[in-house]
Amino acid sequence: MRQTNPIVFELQKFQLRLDGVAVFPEISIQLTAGELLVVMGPSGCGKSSLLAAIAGSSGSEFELYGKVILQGRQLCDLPMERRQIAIVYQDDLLFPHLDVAGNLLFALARGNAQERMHSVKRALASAGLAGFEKRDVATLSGGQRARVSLLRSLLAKPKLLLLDEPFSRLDAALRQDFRQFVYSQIESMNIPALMVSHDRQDCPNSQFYALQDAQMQMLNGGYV
Amino acid sequence: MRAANYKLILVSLGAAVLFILPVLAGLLGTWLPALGYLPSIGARQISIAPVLAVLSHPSSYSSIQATLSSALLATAGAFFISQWLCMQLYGSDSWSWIKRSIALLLAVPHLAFGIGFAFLISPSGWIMRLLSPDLSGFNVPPDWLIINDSYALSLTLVLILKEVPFFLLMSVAAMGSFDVAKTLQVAASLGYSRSQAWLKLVFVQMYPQLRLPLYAVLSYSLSVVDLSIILGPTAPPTFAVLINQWYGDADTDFRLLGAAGASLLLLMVTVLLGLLFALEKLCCKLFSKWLLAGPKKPVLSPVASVSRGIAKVTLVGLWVSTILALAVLLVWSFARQWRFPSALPSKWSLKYWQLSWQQLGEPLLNTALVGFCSAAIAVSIVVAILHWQSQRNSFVTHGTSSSSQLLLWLIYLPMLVPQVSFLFGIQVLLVGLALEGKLVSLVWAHLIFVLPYCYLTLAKVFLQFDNRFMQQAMILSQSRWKSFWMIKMPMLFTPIAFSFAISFSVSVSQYLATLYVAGGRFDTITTQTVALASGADDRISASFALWQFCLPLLVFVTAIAIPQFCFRRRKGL
Repeated sequence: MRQTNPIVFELQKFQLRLDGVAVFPEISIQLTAGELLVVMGPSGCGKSSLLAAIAGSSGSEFELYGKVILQGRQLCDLPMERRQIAIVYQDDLLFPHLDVAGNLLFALARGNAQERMHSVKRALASAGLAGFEKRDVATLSGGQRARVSLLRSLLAKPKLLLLDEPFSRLDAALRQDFRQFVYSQIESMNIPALMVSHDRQDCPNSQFYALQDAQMQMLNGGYV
Repeated sequence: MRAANYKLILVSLGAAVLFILPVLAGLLGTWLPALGYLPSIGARQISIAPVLAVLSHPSSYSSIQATLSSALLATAGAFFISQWLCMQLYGSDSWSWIKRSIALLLAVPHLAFGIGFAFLISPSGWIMRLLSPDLSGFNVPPDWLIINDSYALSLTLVLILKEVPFFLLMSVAAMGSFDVAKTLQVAASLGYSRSQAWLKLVFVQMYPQLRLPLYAVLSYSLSVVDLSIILGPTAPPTFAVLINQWYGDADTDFRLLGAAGASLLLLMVTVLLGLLFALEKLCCKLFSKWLLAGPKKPVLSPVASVSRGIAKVTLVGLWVSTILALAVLLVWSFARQWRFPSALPSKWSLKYWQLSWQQLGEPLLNTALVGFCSAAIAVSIVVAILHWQSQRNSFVTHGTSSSSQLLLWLIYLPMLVPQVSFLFGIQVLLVGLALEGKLVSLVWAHLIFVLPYCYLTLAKVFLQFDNRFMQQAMILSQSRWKSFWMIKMPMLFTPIAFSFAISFSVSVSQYLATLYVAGGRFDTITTQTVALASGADDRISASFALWQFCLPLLVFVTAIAIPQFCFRRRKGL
């Protein structure tokens, strides 16, 4: 599979160092469109720092080594607002002063007002949230907030989706529900996605990327 | 992030050059005349003659004595009372009420409160009227010197009443940085009584955040002019007022005396702050063993509930005095005839409001104009600095504490240095640059004092703001500008509006800064209120004092109402 599809996102010999000390071993990852890779590792192994570095929001105290390539473009020197990478956290970070539609519109590119509103409505309907446009985000349930947050990120038309433990705040039933929603969105957007998690159920195909070993691993313990 | 860093340094430097350097220049411009050098009046002989003249001036000794006693008593009194109130009332049913209402007490300007309070406690004041003639037996006001007493007791009392709420607010803010309830719980489980636990665990953690406010209050009490003119002793007045009189003397030679006095006052403030600092260190040493000596067997006694009761009464007293002070201003301003022993005026009238209205127009407009300009500029500068600071700080995890401490001291500088000690130098500077009496200079002079308060009210809010909102917005909109204006600013609109109101009220309350920089060309409501309070009709004076209270209050109410209206459908804010 991987050989036939073109590679969209790539980390080449990528490493983060803090005060000269490597946070994790040198890693190389390749992702195709619509592919989801789950990165796991013990807490403190630098999972979130990895995502922050890819998104461009990591601090100046980290030294970056290697290359980050998205659709043939080197990203390391670009500021985060020009990388076209979406990042979703366990906190939904919905803007509290805007209603649901406002939150979504903020992410939509400029254009015809009617068309933009139409995209918002379509997106909400796809998430089972039709008619929620004027709702105050503070009145949404946890699961609804998570959906709106993901929809918002995707409306910005990112070329890569980063997910930083997106399900850990949700209870078990909601988690399964939202997980399916995320997978289907990634598939329909046809973009690569990188997810940091410590829940084994998040892994598609029963495999994940072990950050501290810098290699793919099976859930049953074997190596790929 | 480098760009933000660079801008931060640039703006901070700019702010320092514009607002801290002048303080230093003002100090220098005061020290030189203090040593006999003031070319504009032909004094070029460097000598310590002006200093000696101050020391040998017949008024100096008792003036300094009254200043010292009132300032030390007021600062210590207010600090102890506020801490004792915290200790007694934390966690009681009155505590949440204290937290909510304290800002209201603070919103009453010192000056308006002082004038109202004088109307309450003077021999012909409201309290005496209520007691007379039945209880006191007086049919004419007794010949007592209550206001302007030579020991400055009434001044001290007013200072205490005004600074207790300030310390309370600072304490509440300091308690926000750790879990007081849990600390007390843990201490109780270890066998500590509440008062022991409070002193050993809570107060000790709070104090570092109370240090600067304490120093600021001490410096303020030592150098306050407007309140002192109204309530303080008159012959001689407190030292700051005496200096102010020397500066204003028709005989220009007295300026050297004023400058020397101002420098001595600064020396006094510095020495006292140094002593306070030494006292802290001494207490640290003395009590370090006691701190770890273990719990004392708690003795169950009725004292605890009694002291809590007294604390509640004290709190009520604070409120009642404020409300009565404002009420008596209101009654006076509508009085036409109010003979001594009657509890209320026998004839009411709107005449004095109308009269004051004719005189009010210009000062009110000036005050509002200067207040709006300085508050708007202060908020803009502070928001810019804090925004860039937060963009940098969110990524720096260590090593900023000492530099941020230094920054804090620099910001506090204009609050720690007595105004009278550098405003004369600034006046000299402005006259030299032909900028005296210009609106720009007045706004700028107010900014020196407005900026620190503005920074202090916004700093915590900005540092606590979750920067991921900004990052998320930047990723989504691909625009820093849009993210800043459409996400961060609206999310922080409520505290920013509040900080604007604080800044505005600080500007309104400026007395000396206006006096020295306006060159007599701009009267504000505050300078007029002081001018009228000493001598003019009580009724006009009352209505001016009320305006001095109402104008900032109006801005406060608006500043709270606008965000509430804008976000009335948003529970998340």
